[in-house]
Amino acid sequence: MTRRPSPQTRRVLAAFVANAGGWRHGYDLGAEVGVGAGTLYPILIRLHERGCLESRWESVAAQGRPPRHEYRLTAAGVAFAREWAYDAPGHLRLALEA
Amino acid sequence: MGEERRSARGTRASLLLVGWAARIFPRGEMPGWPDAMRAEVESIPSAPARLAFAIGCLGAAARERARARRSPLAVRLVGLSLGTIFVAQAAVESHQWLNGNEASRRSYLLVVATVVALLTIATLQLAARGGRFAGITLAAGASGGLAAAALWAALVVLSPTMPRDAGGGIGLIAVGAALAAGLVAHRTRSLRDTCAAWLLVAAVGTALVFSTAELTIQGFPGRIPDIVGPVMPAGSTPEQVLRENRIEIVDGYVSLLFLLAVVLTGLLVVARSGRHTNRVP
Repeated sequence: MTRRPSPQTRRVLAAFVANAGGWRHGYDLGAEVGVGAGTLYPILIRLHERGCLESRWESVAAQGRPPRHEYRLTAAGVAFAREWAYDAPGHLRLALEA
Repeated sequence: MGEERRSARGTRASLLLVGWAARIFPRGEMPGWPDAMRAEVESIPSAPARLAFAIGCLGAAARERARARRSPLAVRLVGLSLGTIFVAQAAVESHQWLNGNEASRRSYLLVVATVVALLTIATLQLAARGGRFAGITLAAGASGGLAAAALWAALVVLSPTMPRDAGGGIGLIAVGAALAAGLVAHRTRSLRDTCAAWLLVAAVGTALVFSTAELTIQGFPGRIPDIVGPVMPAGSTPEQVLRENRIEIVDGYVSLLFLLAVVLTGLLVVARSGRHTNRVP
């Protein structure tokens, strides 16, 4: 886990930390950090493979829609985020420094 | 009404795209991700955003598929090495064929070299993709074979003539295989991975030593030792002596082909065995 993550990955990590351990949906997360699905999913998959991210299916889905996947950082993911997400956009960086 | 139709068309296109994404996503390795993408697409209220997200999902699936199919770096290096040697062989032999020298024999050797190179590359790819070996197994196996073959090639370059047979090359490969197997056994504590590392070194090393020997025999006749000179009839021309030396020295390296066939078969057997069992931690 020593390889430097990409700027997009660092932004995703910062957004997770800024949300204070809450569960996030893929589309909202991508919109917040400004990355499309083509970039977001490979990042989520790699973080999940490395044990930085946990996922679950939401228990209560909206009417007429399938349940969505939710994601949040594990303890290892939070530590990794705090190590690498220092050059995230301003509001996310503030969350990291809190 | 027109807006609704456009929205419905956008939804259908988005679902179609995300369906394609699910189909091309690597199967078995990452269960749940295609369903997660589809659910996410269905939750997006705006049709253009939904379509853009679905296109992104298709791109992500294509990237994951390409990543899953990509062989480890060491295996790609071996493939590249074999391919380079094969191209060099083809260049040397076609040059000689154009000059009208021993055309039929060289064409035969060209076919043999092609089959050996392609068979080895295909087997390594199969073992790497299907065997589910640890990364260290593939890396140590391929690197050990490369190192043994490189050392043998260095000895050939530094010596006045190439060795008369493959004995030295086989010895170096055996040492490389033992070192790689020892390393993998220490790191993985898996008999299957240890066997695979040993066999990978043997496969890569044998194929590379054979290819290098073949290239030297065909392309650098000055490095062929004089094996038959003392027993050739008086008055034999240098061309006749060279032709006989070439025939004799090839015999010394043919054993590598048999060894390669045995090793590749063993590698395939090991790769297929226990594919669904977990590695011992």
